[in-house]
Amino acid sequence: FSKDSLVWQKCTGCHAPDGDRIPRVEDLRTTPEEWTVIVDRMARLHDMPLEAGEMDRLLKELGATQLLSPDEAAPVAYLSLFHNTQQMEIPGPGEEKLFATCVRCHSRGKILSYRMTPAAWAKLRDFHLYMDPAVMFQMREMHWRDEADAVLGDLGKLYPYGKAWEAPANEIQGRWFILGYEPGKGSYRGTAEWTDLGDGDAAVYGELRFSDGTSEVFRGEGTLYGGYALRTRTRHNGFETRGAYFLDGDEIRGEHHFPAPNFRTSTSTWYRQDGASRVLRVTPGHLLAGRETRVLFEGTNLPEVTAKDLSFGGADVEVLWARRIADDAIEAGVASRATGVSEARVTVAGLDAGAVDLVPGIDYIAVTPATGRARLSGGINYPAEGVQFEAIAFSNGADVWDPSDDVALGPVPAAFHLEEEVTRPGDDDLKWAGEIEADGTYIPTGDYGPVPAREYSGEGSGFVKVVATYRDGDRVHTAEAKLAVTVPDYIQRIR
Amino acid sequence: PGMPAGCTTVFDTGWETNPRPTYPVGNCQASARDFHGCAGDCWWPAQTPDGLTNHPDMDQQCPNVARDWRKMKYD
Amino acid sequence: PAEAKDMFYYIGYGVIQVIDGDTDEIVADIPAEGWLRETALTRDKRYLYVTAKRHLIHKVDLEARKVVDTLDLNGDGWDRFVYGFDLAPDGKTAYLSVRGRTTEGGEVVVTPPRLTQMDLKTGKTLRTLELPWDVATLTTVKDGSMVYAIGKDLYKIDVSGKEMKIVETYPMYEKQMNFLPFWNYSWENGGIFMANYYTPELMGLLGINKETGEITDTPLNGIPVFAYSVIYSPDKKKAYGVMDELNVIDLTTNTYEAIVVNHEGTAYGINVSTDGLKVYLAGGGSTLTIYDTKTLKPLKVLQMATDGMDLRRVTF
Repeated sequence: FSKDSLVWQKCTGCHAPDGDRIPRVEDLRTTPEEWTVIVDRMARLHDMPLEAGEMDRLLKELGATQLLSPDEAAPVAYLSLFHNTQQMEIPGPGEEKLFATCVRCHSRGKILSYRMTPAAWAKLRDFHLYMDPAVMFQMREMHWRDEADAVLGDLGKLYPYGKAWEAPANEIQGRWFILGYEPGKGSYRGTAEWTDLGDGDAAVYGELRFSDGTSEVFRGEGTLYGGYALRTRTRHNGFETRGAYFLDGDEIRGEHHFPAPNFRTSTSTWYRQDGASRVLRVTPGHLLAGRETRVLFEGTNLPEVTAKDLSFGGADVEVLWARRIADDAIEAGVASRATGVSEARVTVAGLDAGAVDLVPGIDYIAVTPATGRARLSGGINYPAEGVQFEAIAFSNGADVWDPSDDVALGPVPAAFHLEEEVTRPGDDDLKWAGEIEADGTYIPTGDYGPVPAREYSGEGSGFVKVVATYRDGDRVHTAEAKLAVTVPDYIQRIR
Repeated sequence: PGMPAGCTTVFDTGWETNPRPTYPVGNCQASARDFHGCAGDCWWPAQTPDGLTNHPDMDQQCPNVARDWRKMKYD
Repeated sequence: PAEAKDMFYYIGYGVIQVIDGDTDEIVADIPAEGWLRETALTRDKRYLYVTAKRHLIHKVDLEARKVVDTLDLNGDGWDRFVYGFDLAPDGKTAYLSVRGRTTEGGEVVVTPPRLTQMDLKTGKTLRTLELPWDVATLTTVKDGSMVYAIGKDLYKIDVSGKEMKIVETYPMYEKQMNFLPFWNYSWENGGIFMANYYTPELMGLLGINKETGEITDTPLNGIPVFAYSVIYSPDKKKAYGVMDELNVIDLTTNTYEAIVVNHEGTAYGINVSTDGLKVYLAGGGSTLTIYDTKTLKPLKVLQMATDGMDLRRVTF
């Protein structure tokens, strides 16, 4: 950091420079979100003055060198939006100690959002004793200090600092073609234009067309940290969203999220428009044997086509009709007579369109998330947080008994309802959980206030069952998931 | 029950999870009754304000949580 | 004595509320800054010391019903936290377990708890002794010649000489005795510091006789009913515990005699009238429920001004 950087001015007051290096600051790399938490803590607890606009400047300077690489950041991207993530963190091999010592209070993702020197990892023990003098009382059925030392020693080896990040020369300026999917609403395509405003900021304007016929116009800005970590603040038809994306050469990948109470989150991939003709998505990505399926090919600068311009690589698939409905969409009617389970390479007027799965039929469905977590309203400052459930259809794959070769076919429009999940005598959670919409959208109607009608006057929280039912011709598939309706998250900056 | 990221599962009770069979989701009943008692002493620093470090006077904006929770604002 | 009069002190947030044990009415509010936690009573029952925000010590005049002095342990760049507070028998000094933290050169500095004997008039530290990190509470025993500090284990500390020193450790951790000893009712319990603990199989009661220093361990039979705090019936034949339920423990058979749902919900603190006819559940939420110990039915629910931590009884 140069001596006239804001980081140098702000941080070296306490972290005395060692030559031209700032200790602590240059011992760690993390995400823009975690740097926000750190800078905020310095201002709140350690008397670091922080004026308007200085957080933005500090994050940009820190983001240039003290950032994770895209590969390091991808596994923890679910924490970038500070939203009610449904990500399930499962202990990996050898991670039982990590979970017992650390993940009982905060997410594993928060830990994996850091790469630090062994000495910096080791300092986290006393950092926690400083921030939470009562940690020993809560973690009293273990030797927390010693076990923290052991875990932090491992983390020093597993997640070393490595070297400072060097921002790639990514270019955001220009027109982009967008393909996205929003659970509970459908898939969408659209276009957008980014205008580089300099100093890592850019403005965006675009519009999206959804498979349900609706459309959204969006505008706003974005900030690029470390040349790849794009964070957006846009309004879609007037509704505010936060986005977190990876800018990777000619692609942008990530999510944007409507904060509670609408809470919708969608993932999208943006392709730089360079005039080339490309097929970029095929929906649905599977064909059921013996049925006519309407298939949608989306991409850029698509040619006019007829049935003969489509090929399924010699698979027993008949193309009944095909036509271009827009320069970015082609529709076709196809019927697969393939037996067994296979994959067909698809081309459209010679353009590679990837592959589709050919399967006999839908064998079962599964609900995601397997355990959803909704949060009751905590008043105007903490709106209720919902869960969007989805039913995903599966084929058993070639070997009926081997689940590892099952083929996920994609979401199907199942009907959802709630049922009691009895965990104790007199379990009344269902009564207070409210309703789930038929399309799997659940928003709690309860709030943080005690309910005198309950046995212990508990609030309207509880643990219930979510049941999805999907009619596929004469077959009816059902599947279950769980729904935990729990209390608000009053400290959202710490995940 | 296993819960999504960010849910605490600490022994006493997590903020969102309760190892006791009585009430699997949430801590004491009602959670509002346990707010100052536990949060004040940092029991769930990732989900609730704490009285030891970040919010030394956390009780002042809402000393009776079950009655006044609607106005709480900590983050 | 026939004319013994119970007064209950509700340890709330920014206030101590006084309840007349005859009428069970709130008769006074004593403003006291901060979220109130630990309490200790002088032998003459004139002053109740109450810690707040883990770094303030209020001296409350029970006659004048107001805070007459407050010591603040924070200062000279250090934040300090009290987890363990009891008076020496003379009431002039107190024993505290104090942890400290500060920052130096952009690094955190944290110190393990130190048993600290403090002059209550001046706030001056007279002497200290480093304690294990896990110490969460303490109590003076054997007329103030010893201090028992409780964490994962119980540490017996001789304070009678010039230097304080740990002389014995009563093991609990290896017996998987899991403790949250933030509540105890020594002066209401006839001088017995008592707290409940859990093992993976059962709940038990650990008693410390403040006079003799004797430790008793009473495992209970039956499926554990979780409790934050426990107190004897005046005749010591029973013990009452509370968390989500009022549970009545028969101490002749060490079994749960009754488990009654407390409809108001979870409570931290419990106390009992001197005549043993009434049990008071308070602390946690802002409602205090009074139960008839014969019928185990609620007699009355008081709406307190704030949530609370505990309920103490002083019998005049």
